[in-house]
Amino acid sequence: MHKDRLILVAFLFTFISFWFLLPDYAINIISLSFCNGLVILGLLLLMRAGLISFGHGMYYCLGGYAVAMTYNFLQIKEVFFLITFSVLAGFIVSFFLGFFVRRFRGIFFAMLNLALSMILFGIIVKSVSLGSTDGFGIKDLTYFSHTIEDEKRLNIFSYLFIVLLTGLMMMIVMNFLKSPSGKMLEAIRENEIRSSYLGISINKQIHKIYIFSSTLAALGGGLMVILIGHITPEDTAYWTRSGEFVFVAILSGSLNVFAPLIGSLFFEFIRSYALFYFPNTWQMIIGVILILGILYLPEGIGSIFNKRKK
Amino acid sequence: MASIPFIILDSLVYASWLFMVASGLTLIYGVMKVLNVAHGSLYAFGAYANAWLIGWYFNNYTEFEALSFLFIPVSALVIGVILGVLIEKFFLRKIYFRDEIVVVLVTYGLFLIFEDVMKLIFGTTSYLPYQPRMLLGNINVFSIPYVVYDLAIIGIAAFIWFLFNFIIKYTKIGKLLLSVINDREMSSALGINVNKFFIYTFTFGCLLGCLGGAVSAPMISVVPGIGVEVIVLAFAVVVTGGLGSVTGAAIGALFIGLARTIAIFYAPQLELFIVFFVMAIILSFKPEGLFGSKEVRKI
Repeated sequence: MHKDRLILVAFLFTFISFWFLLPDYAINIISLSFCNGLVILGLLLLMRAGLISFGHGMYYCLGGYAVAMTYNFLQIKEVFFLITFSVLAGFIVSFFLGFFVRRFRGIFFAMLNLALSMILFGIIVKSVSLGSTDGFGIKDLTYFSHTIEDEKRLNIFSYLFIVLLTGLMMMIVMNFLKSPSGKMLEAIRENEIRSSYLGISINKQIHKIYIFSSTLAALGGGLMVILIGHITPEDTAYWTRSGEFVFVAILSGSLNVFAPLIGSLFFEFIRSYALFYFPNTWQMIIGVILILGILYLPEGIGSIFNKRKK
Repeated sequence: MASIPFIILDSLVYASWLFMVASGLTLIYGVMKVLNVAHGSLYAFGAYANAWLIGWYFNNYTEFEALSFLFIPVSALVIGVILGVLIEKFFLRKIYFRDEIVVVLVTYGLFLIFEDVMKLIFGTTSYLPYQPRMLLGNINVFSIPYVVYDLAIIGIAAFIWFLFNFIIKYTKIGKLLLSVINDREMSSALGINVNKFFIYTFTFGCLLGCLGGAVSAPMISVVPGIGVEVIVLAFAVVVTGGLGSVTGAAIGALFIGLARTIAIFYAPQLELFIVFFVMAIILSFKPEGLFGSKEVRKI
């Protein structure tokens, strides 16, 4: 148990020190992949219970819109409050949708979430008051009442904020997976009926992790807006985005909490370079990597670092 | 209320189009338990192939215009068979034993690859193969002028539905197929070549996807990215009707087609929203879809 925490601290320190070592563009990609990594971390929780959602872009979008809209309509510039709003948005929506979604398993769970995210996409795209396809932008922010004069979105504050918050979430997820509740997820995945005979309330557990993972996704979306400063429905709630998340989640595997972050980093770097060097065929490259990954790394990227004991 | 005949006609045409696209998807799922995301690119491939053939023909020849209808089945057949066999043999065969979601992701990867392949082959300019649609002209239905080509789509969809039912109910292949659907292992133990059935079904499903694209090419402008929108709509139809049920897909297409047309007539902002809303409502009452079968839970 202690070993994992030490690795986490070392992991965070490495990334904080990267601020001083790596060029700006690399830091930007790292921050973005941390934001997206939170969504993948949420998907990891669902994957532990044998579920996958093809609509986590919905919560990513909700979290992002919560930040952008509180900023624009309520004029709140304090990052701490903005993030609180995005977490709340994810929590409340997933709490109510959870009653509906928790009855489904397997492919239906995945597709129902896809439908819900497309509903959100449809609502946002067609309503002008929600910014339609243009979305919202945000400008200067304050970090714990410390105003940033520099116009640059990526500064030491936003970077630290993203990395440390991600680290905190990884810690929470790590502890959760080791708690009895977390161990139940594997029991549910292995055999739902047997575990319900053992006294686990399956639907309640699934509802719980659905809320947990959606809140993480919303937080990721909120952080993404703070980093990039703009949000559009096309980039967040559309199903191709959710497909990308599932893609990274499957490539990362669900063996440990580092895998989602590493998978996300890997994906963002590959995408940036593919986009840069092969602007016309970058999707093809990503598709090839996905298929190769599934064929040759069945347990995900995490399996390189952490061989499961049989 | 004068618009009711319009609504009925429009929703029938739209539902037929949806059914054409979704039937291949649901067939493949029913037999192989593979939810094929690449179906969207097959649709786009079919549309591109047909559009290219029609463009080439009308640029070079002026007589025998009716010949352009022949390009629809030809392009569907060629593209569907080539891609279907290719995908099944080289990708799906290796991962049948894996989880359903992993298989979905492999087809998603193929979808990404095909998106770029299409751009490389056909370029990014749009194709407008309108000629076949113009050839058939207009007709008055209940004193509404309507394009004959669009009405013909209803006929094609109905034909596909009859074909399915005929094959499954009255032919030996259909009976064998039913046994493969119900119990894969038992049927292979009884001497049915399940792999052969898989490859035939997958190819036939792909062919239907391409046919959907080829038929709709004259109605739309064929541009990159048409497959993306089609596949989510087809998913919605298939899941609403119950995965693996062709009749379910037909009924689901009717439901969604009607809801969307009503939305377009009375509240056009809801167009995209309503499709998935109908799906969510139906799933909340019948979690396995309209014609889906309840899964037997094994301990």
